[in-house]
Amino acid sequence: MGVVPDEVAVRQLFDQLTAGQPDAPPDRHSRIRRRVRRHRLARVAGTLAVAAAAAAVAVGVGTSVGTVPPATGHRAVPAWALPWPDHRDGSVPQRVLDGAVTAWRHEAALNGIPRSATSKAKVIWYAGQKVANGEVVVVIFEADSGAGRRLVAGWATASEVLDGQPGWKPGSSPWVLYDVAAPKPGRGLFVGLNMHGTSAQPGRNPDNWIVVLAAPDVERVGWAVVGPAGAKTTSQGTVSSPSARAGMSLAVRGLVVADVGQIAGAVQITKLDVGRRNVLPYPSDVGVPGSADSQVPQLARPAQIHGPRGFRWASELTGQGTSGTGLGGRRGHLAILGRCYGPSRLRLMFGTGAQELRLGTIRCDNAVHELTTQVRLQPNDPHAGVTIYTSMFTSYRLVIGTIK
Amino acid sequence: MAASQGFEDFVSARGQALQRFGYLLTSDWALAEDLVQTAFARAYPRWSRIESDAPEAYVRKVMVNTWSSWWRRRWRGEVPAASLPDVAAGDPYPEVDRRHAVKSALAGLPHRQRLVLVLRYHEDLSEQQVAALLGISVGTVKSQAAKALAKLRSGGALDGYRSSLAGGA
Repeated sequence: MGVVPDEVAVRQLFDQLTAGQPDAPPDRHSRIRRRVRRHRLARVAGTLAVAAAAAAVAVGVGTSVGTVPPATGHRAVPAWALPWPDHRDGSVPQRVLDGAVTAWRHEAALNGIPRSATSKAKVIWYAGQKVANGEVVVVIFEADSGAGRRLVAGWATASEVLDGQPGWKPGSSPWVLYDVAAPKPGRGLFVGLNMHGTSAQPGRNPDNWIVVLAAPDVERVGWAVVGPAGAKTTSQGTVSSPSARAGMSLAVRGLVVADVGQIAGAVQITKLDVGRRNVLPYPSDVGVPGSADSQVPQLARPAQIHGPRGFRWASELTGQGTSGTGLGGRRGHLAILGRCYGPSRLRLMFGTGAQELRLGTIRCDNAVHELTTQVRLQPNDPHAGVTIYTSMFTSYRLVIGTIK
Repeated sequence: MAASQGFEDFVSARGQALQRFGYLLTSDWALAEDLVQTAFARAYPRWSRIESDAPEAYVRKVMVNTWSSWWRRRWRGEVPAASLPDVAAGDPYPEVDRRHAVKSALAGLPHRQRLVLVLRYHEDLSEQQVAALLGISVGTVKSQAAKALAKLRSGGALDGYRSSLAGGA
C-alpha cells in the first residue's frame, strides 16, 4: 500500500507535538502503587467518609452533605471544589464581582448553556480584587450549575468596571473570562491569568502581569519568560537577540501577583515551592487548566495613531496574532499606518485566496510606519480586505484608509 | 513478587510512550501523566491475568475510556480555532505560534475523530484494531479518519509538514 502524503504529514505533526515530552517521573511506579492503595482504602472507608462529611461545618456555600470540613483555618467547600481559601480583600465591591458572574452566565448562554442552568449556580469565590497597581480587577470562582461544575477565571480593566458599568451588555463585556470544567484538586495544580496594566513609563508599553492561584501551602512561585529582543554586539556585527528573564515570587496562602515586565512569549511557571520541595511536576505556561487560549498573554494595544493630512480613515484594527479585516464599499488609493511591538514583524496582504497580493511588512519597533500601496480600492470588490500575518506575541494597531 | 517486577518493567518500558499517547488526547503533559497513572493503577491489580495477553492494549483501552469519560463531563465552552501564521524566512518566533496553532487544531477536532486519528497514525493500530478498541465499525473508523485529516488539511495544520516533505519524500 502506497503512503499518502496526509498520513505521513500527520505522523510528523504528532512527532513534533510530542517532541517536548518531559522526562519520566523517577517514582512513577511507586505513585501507581500508592494510588491503588488509596483507592482500596477509599472503598473500605467509604461509609465512614460520608458520615464525616455529614458532620462537617459548611461556611458560605450551603449546608448540603458532602462538604470538606475546615482544617487549619481553611473554609469548608463542597468536595468537588478546590479546598483553597477565599482571597477577596474588599478592594472591589461585591456588585462588581457579581457583574463578572453575570457576564459568565451570558457568555455561557452564547455557548448553548441555558440561563436556567446557570442562574441558580452556587458560586465559590477564590479571588476578586484589584491587582497590577490597582489597574486591573481579577476574578476566580467556581460554580455548580445545572449543566456542570465550572472554574471561571478572568480579569477586566479596573476603570471599565468600577464606575457602575454593567458587567455585560448585548455584544460586549469588559470582562475577559475563561470557563473550563472544574479541575480536580491535585498536587501542582494552579490557576493562572495573564493580563496587562494600563499605565506605562514614557517610551514603553504597559507591563504584563500574572496572577497565579495555587494550594495555600505553596510558599513561592518561580516563573520565566522571553523578553523583547535587544541589540547585541557580536563578531558578526550587531544582532537582535531575545532576552530571557526569570523570577521567584512569594505567595500569600497560595496567591501570587507578579509584574513580569515587557514580554515576547508565554510566561511559564517553573516552580511551586512547598517548603524546600517543588511540587510542580512540569513547567507549565501561565493559564487556566484546560484553556489553551488563556496561555497566550493579553498584550496592551500600542498607542493611538493620527493620520497625516489627506489621509481618509476607513477602519482601525488592533490585536495580536494573525487577523484581518474587510474593506467593502471603499474607493481610493489604499494606505496603511501601523504601530506594533513584539518579536515578529507584520506581513500585510490584500485580497483573498488566489487574489492575495503582498502589500509589504511593518517593523515592530513601536514607531508609526506608513505603508503606501499600489492598490486602488473599488466599492464593489468582494475580495477587498487586509490580512495581517504575525506572531500571537506581537501587538499591533493599524489604521487603514485611502489617500488621493 | 515476580508479577510486581513484571509490572514495574512494563511501566518502565512503556510508560513514556503511553504518556505521549495521553498527551495527544489531552494536550497537557500533567493530564497525560494523570491519565497514564489512572490506567496503570487499574491494570496493576489485574496484572497476573493480563500480563500474558496484550497488557498495553488493556492499558490503552483504559486510557481511552477514562479520557472519554473526562470529555463527556466537559462543556464544549471552548472552541479552539487557529489560523496558522505565515512563517517568514529567518524569523524563529512563528514556530512557537505554529506549534500552538497545530495543538489547537488537534484539540478542535471532535472527540471521536481525534481518538481515531491518534490511534491510527500515532499508535499505528490497524483499522480493525481501532474499530475493536472503540466498539465501532471499520467503515466508521475510515470515515472518521478521513474527516479528521480533511479538517486538519483545510485548517492548514498539515501545510508545514507536507511542504517539508515535498523536497525529500
